[in-house]
Amino acid sequence: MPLHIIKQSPFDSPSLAQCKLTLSAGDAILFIENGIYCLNHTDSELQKLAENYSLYILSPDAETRGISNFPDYVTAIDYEEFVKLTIEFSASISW
Amino acid sequence: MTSFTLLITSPAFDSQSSHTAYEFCSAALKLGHKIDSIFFYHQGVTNSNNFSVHHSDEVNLHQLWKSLATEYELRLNVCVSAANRRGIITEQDAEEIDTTYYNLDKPFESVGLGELMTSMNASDRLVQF
Amino acid sequence: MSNSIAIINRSAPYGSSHATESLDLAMIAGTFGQDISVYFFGDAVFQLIEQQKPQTKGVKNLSKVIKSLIFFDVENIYVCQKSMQERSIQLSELCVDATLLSNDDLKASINKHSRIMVF
Repeated sequence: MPLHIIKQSPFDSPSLAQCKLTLSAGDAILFIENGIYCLNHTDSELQKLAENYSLYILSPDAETRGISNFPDYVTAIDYEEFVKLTIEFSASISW
Repeated sequence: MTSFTLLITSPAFDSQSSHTAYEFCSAALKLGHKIDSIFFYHQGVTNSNNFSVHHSDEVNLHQLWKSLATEYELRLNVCVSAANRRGIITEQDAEEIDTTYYNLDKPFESVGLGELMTSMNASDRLVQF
Repeated sequence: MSNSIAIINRSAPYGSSHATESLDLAMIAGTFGQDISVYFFGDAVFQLIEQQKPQTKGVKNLSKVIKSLIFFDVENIYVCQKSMQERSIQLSELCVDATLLSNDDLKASINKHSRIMVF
């Protein structure tokens, strides 16, 4: 059960698309750095993804980018919670 | 307590990822976890470059790593081949190519990739940045 | 599961240093007796093309490097079927006898590892 870390914008990188191909039950996705822009990417259909996977967003990176209103299907976390997630999941993949 | 190996493959200044790694590392240490080593590979080796000069109001990741390493006695391992390819050399490397200047110095250590294997085997978790 | 390593390659060869340094890492992992699987995914399937002929002296032919992985005890080489199809690459064009994985098999295979690196 890996934690998938998306750090690139879905508008210029296949990171999220590739991550989606490897998702399986119980996985979670954490959006950091330019991966935050996945929230703006309508084609990514995050809401639909949230039905089966836990979605997290690194709030300092979102706030840095002027994004403070998160949809309720993502959980905003800080660095300490980021650390805890990497412990909770047996592995992480940084896409 | 969980032990981590952090693998940094992104460049120091040209990407945010090294900074994310620094924040992650600081948070993990604050929570009482152990960092077995921070391994700089691929473009991540630029974090170890002593010659990176920043404006005084800019973040200097190289210095931040040094301070963190000193405070917590961290191992900052730098892959020798990846560093040398990018113009980052130790005093010993400098002697070999007959030059006076070098930019990789303590607390950063020039090591082989085998060190990454040793560290990963000792750690509970690997996180790449 | 314990200390098994997965290297997920997703970068095309030659255009960047990702492939070269990822393969270096795979060879060292093999030499150190690690349980390692190497995946070729997305644009990285181009790394497996047999007919590579680097025209610049000193640029390593990556297909030869990949062929040599076996001598470093790197035996588990997997390629994503979907990535091959998307790029119109046939199995006969590959330089090694890689295991072709469907999407479901790819997930299951990657999930067996606890140390996952992406290049």
